[in-house]
Amino acid sequence: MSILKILLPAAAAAGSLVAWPAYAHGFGERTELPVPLGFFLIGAGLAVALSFVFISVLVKVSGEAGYWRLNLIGTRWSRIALTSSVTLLPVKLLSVFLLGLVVAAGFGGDSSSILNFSPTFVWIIWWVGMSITVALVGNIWALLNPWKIVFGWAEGVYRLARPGQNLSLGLEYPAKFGIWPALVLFGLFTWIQDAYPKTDVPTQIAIMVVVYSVITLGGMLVFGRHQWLRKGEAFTVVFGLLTRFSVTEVRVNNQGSCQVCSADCRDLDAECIDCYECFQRSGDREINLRPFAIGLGRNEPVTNDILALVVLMLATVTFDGFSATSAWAEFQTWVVDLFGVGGGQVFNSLVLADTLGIVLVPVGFFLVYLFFAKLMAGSVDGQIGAVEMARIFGFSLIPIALAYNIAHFITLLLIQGQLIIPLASDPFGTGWDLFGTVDYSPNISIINARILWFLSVALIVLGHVLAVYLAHRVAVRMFANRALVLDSQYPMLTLMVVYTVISLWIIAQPIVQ
Amino acid sequence: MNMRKLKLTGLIMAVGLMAMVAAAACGGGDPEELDLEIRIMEGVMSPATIEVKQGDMVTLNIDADEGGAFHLHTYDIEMDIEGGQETDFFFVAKATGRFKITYHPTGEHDEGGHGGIFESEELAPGASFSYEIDEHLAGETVPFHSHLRPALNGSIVVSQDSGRTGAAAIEYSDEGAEPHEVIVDPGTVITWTNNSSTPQTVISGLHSDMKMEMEEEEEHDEENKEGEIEIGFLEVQPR
Repeated sequence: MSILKILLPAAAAAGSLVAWPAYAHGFGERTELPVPLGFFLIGAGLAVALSFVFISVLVKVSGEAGYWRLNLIGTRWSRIALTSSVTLLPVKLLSVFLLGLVVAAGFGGDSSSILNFSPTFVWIIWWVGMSITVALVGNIWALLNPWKIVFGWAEGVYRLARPGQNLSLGLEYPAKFGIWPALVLFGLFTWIQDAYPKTDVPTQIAIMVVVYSVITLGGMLVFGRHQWLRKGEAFTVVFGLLTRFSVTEVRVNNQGSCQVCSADCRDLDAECIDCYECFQRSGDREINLRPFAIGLGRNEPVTNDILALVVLMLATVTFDGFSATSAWAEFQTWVVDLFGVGGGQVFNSLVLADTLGIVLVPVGFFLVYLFFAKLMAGSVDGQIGAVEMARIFGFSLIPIALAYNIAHFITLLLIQGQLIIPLASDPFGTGWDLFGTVDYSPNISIINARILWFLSVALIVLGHVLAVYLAHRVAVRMFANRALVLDSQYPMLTLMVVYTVISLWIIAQPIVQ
Repeated sequence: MNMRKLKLTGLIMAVGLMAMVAAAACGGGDPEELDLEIRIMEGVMSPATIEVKQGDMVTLNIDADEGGAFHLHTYDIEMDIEGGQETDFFFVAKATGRFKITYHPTGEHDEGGHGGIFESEELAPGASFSYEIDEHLAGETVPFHSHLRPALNGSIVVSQDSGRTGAAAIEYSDEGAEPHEVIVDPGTVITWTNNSSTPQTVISGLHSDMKMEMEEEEEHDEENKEGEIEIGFLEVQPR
């Protein structure tokens, strides 16, 4: 720490000594009112009460693997509408076009973040909108991922030119790397979103997109398209995690075709779910409607890298909200007092404070989780170790984070997101009016605060209940003995109540930015 | 046993949700007309948070020690405030939420100002217009332009010891105003002559396009960006 104390301010002072940066979380102004105390208390009370009643009800509920499903591509017409390349091509073209537009507008458009298409599109429509859609509706990123599409096209062209050869070098992806590359890239993305002070500058966004494109296309070139998507493409991995909550899944029934993919992606129940490469190749396939959250309770091995990603996501979702509270502002002030303002536009104490947050909050979160996992391990007499407990139950915390995330971002998406309507007509800020919408002014009273409070609290309580249910389902699968199931769940339940109440507390705080 | 607990779960959820629905539905009262006194002194707004309820018709009587642009974010209303006098700012609080308010002081040496000191009638080619520089302009720089052709512009630097009193001449041609800048003492009579081929006017201050250019330059200039300060919030609670 003493070395840190010397090094960090030195790095901070390296820049010039003028500017206090314009400060932004990703991009976009938050306007939501804090949830009033009454709502907070009702929400917290409900979470606690429901947890304990629910768990005792659940004692009698079995943890069977099956669940209700409805195949959406069971009929000829729905199959054509949802899977034929003719209907999907325009959507794919649009996605690739939008990637190009973000870069072009970033470099060539107006330098104001409000008059340029890129900041609103990337931070609000794509990042917030896509993550909520993927988590609720289904993994449209698997379809829309522009890098995946472009590389797929390039592979096709290459095969035409040189039959029998692959564009990718097809290097063996080292198994020990796991999904760490995706995790590191996602960590960087989070840092940019929450700490980097220039996220709203169009040229900076364009540079980030270009750099990420090079990394992604390069990764696919070296290790093969599907390998890199599965292990190194941050958003495929992150959205793939979120979409487990969603109400749809893709499934391959024929076990044989699941094994011929570049990786065998069957889970421990030998089911082939949400494996997009296999889905593409197989003839015997389904797109199913399923209950919410059920995809988080599947029987599958969870490795340390996946646990780390889950913890990182849970922690950063919370941090994004927490960093806009006055409690965090006080911490920032404390850091600034300690180190001085610090010089440059990027290296200054404010950014240092946020960087500390992005590093320390996940670490702290992990330690707290590990502590509760240890309690769980103790309650089952050490049949399962603490880390293994943490791995097994990690997914079940995701509904709380998701519900909170939606409550946290919904106003931004609904109000600031409308800016995309005028921007679509004039993406470069040069005075075009392509769709006649350039004069559209956002309807800022689209959602009433009272309805929003109700929705937010109801969502978080619902997320909490789903989390309790999921953890219970996993426990039933793990332990034959009912008494052990129940014993193992009390620490988990306590952790979930704490996490839920923290989430509620944050949305009850005025945003100070 | 099981059924009873299931029922209990349902009951708790129902009671909780009903409590929230009740909280969501209640409230009420009709929108009011509000007159609020707002002071902006040395970049500090009091009160720091303006609290109103949804639907209120709000007039802010803003009293600022320094002139500037008052900006209510997301509602996206901007208003120029004169220093040292009360300015009314009216809006209907139709949207609930917590909205940032920023202030961009323009300061005393606002080069965009000085409108309304003098203004000529339309000057036909060959016609001229005169104005005597007033005593109180000492030390100021007064820009001027032709409203009919803003490219014809320049400025008058009013000094105490330029040694130029009596008269000064400025000529409008098709190329521009010549000289572009004159340095004079108070009491000097300045005469503009329109030697261009079209009618012109003489008006003090900057043309609005030029002001916008200046503001844009400021936006692009990091240091001036700091000039915009966050002074508080408008909180519109649901009714």
